[in-house]
Amino acid sequence: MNTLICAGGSGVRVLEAVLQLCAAGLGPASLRLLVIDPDSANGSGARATALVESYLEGHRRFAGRLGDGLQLFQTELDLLDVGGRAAGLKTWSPIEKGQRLREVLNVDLLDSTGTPSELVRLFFTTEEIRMDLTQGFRGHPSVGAAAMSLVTLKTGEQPWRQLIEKLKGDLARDEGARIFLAGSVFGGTGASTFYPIARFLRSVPEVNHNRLKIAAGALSPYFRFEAATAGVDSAASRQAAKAERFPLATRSAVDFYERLRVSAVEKNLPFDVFYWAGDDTPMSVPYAPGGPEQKNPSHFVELLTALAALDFFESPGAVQGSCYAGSNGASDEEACLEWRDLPLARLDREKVRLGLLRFFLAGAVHLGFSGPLVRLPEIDRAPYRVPWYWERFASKGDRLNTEESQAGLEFLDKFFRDHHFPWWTEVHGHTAVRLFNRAAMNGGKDVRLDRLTNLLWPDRAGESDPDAIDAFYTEMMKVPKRQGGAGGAAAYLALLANAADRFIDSRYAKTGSKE
Amino acid sequence: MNKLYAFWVSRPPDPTMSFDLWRGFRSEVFGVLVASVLIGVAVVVGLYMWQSRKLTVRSPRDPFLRFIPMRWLWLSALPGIVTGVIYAVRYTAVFPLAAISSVGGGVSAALISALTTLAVAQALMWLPGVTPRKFLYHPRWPWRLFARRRP
Repeated sequence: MNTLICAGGSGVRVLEAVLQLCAAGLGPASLRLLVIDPDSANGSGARATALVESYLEGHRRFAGRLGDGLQLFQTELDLLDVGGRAAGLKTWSPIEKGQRLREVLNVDLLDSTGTPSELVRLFFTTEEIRMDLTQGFRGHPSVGAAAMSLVTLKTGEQPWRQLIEKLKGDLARDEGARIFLAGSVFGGTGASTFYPIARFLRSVPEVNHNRLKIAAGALSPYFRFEAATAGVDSAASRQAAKAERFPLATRSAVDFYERLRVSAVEKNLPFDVFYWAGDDTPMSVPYAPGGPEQKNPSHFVELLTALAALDFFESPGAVQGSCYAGSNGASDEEACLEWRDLPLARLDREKVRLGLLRFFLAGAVHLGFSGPLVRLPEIDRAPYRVPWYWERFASKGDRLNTEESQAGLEFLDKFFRDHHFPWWTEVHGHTAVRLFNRAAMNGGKDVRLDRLTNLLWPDRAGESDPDAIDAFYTEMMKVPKRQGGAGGAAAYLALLANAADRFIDSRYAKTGSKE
Repeated sequence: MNKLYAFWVSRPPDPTMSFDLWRGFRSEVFGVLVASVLIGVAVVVGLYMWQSRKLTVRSPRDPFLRFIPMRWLWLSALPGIVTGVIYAVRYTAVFPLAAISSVGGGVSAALISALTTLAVAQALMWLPGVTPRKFLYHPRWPWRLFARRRP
């Protein structure tokens, strides 16, 4: 069983990327999720929670109902739900609301235990000891690591209790347990999570220690902000995470893990593999100390880390040690990210690319054409006018205007319009990203249908093919009848995906974009 | 074959007409009728195929628009007109003294020619490959012509 533990805002956005890939059918069979974030109210967390709920609905509607070969929404999520408690994505925090480090470490009680409380001052400044941790560790990994280390005291509490039980169950099976920790190494929460949590997880197995594989997806600086411009008061400003410290924090983290690796404690290095991902031209984002306003846009670095996670889940033994990936794009002047730059060890690059393109195409056609088509009143009066609708639905007594099918169509509307396309648009916010063609994206809400044959980078400027949707529509008729889902919205989505495959074969091979 | 076509004109309309002349005339008209039907079907189906392939679906409402290529079926009247006219011209030439008018025979020959063209062309439109797949059921299939529409 695979477990993804995401720490902090960056980790949560990696979770978003993983779910987008799972929706496109690239995920593992099952995935257990846990988020670690003291600032559970941050905007990225809220967005990820909404995506998880949306994904779960997609899984319920489509998993196992799309016919052979189609894995869209197939990954089954385990959210560590426990009876009697709220279902949904679990966010664990080592901090209770309003707590300061002083309370977390019980500094006032240390003297009574024989440990001088002044000892704490050797490791933390007065401001750190007094800092309100409700909105995270604000770029102070030393504070966060101290709090995270207390996880060993929480093993009897949820969600750890259930996670530990499940991990032990996984370890009893041959395939073992695979855990991927994702987060940034330059901020607060992510940086302070990796080592304490991985070390704790290593202590879980009582037997079959070698069946536990742990990987870390470490994000080095890929965004920056100016805290001073936010008009915050001086104390908060001093405590706030500062973008200029990111490189130094990253270097410290790298040094730390390198020391762990080469030093005498090598056997205690809790990670089997460390994936490093970053960007040499960090994106500027508005500063927010935390809470709902902290909502950075998605970034391609998170996509790379998500792919690393899926690669690890596919074959945890494929790579060992530290993994880096750099651009090998065509341009010498500017580093860029193309499909061939995706750092994949085990996953088939072409399968990834075609899988994402297929899902993208299916979504584009659904939002712009076939979704509105199957909702027209005319289709009820003259279903034979749309041959695929007649042959696959109406002639069999199935209709897409039933309550259940309509709900399925509305789900697809919402997923593509509110989650999938906005996410891709944000990932392509950086001009160096050369995966899809950003000129085809209509501000993130949908996709230009006249660019259906040019959804992949590079943009063929000026090209507009109003008949591209006609070609796709024709491919929908050619999809063999055996390639159909289990009726209703599932059969409809299966048809779109299979037609997209045919469309890619005919149109993208001709234009050379498939190579 | 021509007896089958012209079973109701197997005998001359006027008993004073030469039977041999009548038989020759009937064969001639039958030849014209077959030729006009064949040419008519080829023209109608050819134009239909050309235009139906030119039609594209670009918006969700497009499949429900009037299927214009079907209008070429009106051209089926042409073989009828040609056959009727030739019938009248040849009838007058071959039987200048006939007491019976050419109108009745000409109209029936024209109707047979037009209706045959219409039927054959329509049947061909239902054959695979003639109508593009995206408009497969736009020429309404016989068993659907009388299908009850949903309210």
